[in-house]
Amino acid sequence: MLDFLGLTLVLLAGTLVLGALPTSFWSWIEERLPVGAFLYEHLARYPAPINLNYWYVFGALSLVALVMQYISGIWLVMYYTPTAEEAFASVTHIMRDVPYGWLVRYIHVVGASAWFVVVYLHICRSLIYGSYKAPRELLWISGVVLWILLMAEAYTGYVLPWGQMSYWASKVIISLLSAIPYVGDNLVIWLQGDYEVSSVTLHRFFAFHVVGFSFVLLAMAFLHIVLLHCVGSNNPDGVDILKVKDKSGWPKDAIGYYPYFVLKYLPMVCFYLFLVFAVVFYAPTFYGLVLEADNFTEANPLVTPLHIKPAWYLSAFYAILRAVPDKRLGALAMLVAIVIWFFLPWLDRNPVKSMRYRGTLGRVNLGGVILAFLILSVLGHYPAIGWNLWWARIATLWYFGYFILLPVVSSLESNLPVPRRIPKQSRG
Amino acid sequence: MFGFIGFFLTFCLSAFAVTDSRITLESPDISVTDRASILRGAEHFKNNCMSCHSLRYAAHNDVLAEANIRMDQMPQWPEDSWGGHPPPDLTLMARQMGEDWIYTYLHAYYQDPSRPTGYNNLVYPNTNMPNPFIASQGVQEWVDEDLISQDLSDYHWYQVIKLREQGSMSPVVFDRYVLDLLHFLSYVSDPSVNARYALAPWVLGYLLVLMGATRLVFYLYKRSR
Repeated sequence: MLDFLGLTLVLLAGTLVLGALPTSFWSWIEERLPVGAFLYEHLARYPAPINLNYWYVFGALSLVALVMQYISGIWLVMYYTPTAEEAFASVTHIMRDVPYGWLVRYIHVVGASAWFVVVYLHICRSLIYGSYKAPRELLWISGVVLWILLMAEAYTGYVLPWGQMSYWASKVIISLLSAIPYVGDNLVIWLQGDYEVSSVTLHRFFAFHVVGFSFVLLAMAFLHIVLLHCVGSNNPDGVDILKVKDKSGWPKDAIGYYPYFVLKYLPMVCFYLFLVFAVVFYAPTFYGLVLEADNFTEANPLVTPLHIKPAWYLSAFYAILRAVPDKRLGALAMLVAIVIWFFLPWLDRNPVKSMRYRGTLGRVNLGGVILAFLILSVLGHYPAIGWNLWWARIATLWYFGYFILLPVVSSLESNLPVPRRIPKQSRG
Repeated sequence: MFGFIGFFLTFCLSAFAVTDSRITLESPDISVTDRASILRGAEHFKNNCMSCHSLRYAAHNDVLAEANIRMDQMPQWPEDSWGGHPPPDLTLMARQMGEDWIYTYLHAYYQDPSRPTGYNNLVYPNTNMPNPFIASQGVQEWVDEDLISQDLSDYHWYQVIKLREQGSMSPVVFDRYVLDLLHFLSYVSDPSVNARYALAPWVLGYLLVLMGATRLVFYLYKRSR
């Protein structure tokens, strides 16, 4: 408790000292490094559509999650040892002997799952309001890249505790690469740095997790925001607010992001943290979804767990992999299931963005793919036998059916007329 | 060489053969904050389990210190002892197998002359662990020999096996004994539980207040516009 009090006091004192500095000091800095002008331009003068609703909080929450993962991650690295002999024991040491180590590790683990929840909802919002359409195609592509990077980051992080499921899930996923013709087997050995998943593999996954992927992720997140600020935010009505401007050039349906939306979303950020910490304190394993029971025993290459399954956020793609009877085709289907999202802006032929003004067909199709994804996520968690397998096959077809039907459905839809201005009833 | 491969294959198969329970698992009420029970469990652990099992990750645990359990009292088994299956470390067992599994497992020993130890278990069939409760719980046997070959997945252990000779404890006392042990193992598997429960109301309360305050600020800002 004293550590926290001390930290708070230092922060408070620091703020007071900085606040007591004369204005001339700050203008001296501002002339050389215009931080204030930058923040003003990108927060107060960023034209946010007036009708942004709570679906639009998930981008900001994703940033909060990123910061949480970075901070907790730094503290974990201070005590973690990335070797096969000591990794498991060092994580156990963090959980038991390091003061508040359990808190930092649970925040990191629960935070990762929460991040995926936020990202999936963020993607859902893009799909519902058509945020991937022109002129936001590059923004959408950078988002898909971020999502894939996040999966790579999560996967490499999942291996680090070196529990049974860490070891075997990493073995299954890395062996997927052997499905690549001609070079596959050698590629697996090259990536593992060994003939088996071993201490060498663990060490390089640690490097990727802490330095490689995480820094690219950070850079990509920055680019994502830059791209957003170049083309501007979409909104629940899909109205192009940049078309109607007042004399000063400010869009008539826009309002500065700060203070209105910052104040609107702050309570939601608190609510998000409330949920994350409620799980951290009262159900840190979250019934085996966040921390699997099998991962509480050290990795043993000689004992295969009964059901090998990836973490819940990759579960849907694992279900697709197993639904296809052939290993090579299964791996291909899984790859396509992810990569196909890049092409969404061009598969959707309907010029109308928001589902509010699109026909029933488009809504049913979108609802279908979301449902198929959820079903696959659940099925990926259970053994692929009997009815489970058949359901997974139906859901896989359904999932791909969305993309196959999309060009047809989106050109057949009967749309409602999209208003020129944001309608009164959807203004906050 | 072939002997080694054969051994390896049998080993893999035996690892696969570690199947789920034959019977329905019980769901006892676990109170991880019942300090008295946890300490009694530590005492039971010291007297009965520690001849074979260790708690090697719990070196700095407060309950172990209070129960005067030292790390150098715990056994250390070479990998190849006990035919390659040395008694496992129990520090994280409650997390790995779950409380329900351990509770039911400890109740479900029965006499089976076909096993080397003379006893078998319904939850973990063909377990290598000798029945530790012959003197305390007593000896259990099948209620009906016809059940042996049946699918028992919907049965509870007490519907399948019954006490033939009671040991030094009555069934109620024995159940209490197992619960104490379970509370101890559960606590040892995640000792952060006390700190978590103590810190939670402060952090969550703070966030709730902050949520209310920021919401109020937004409301006031909106009204003033």
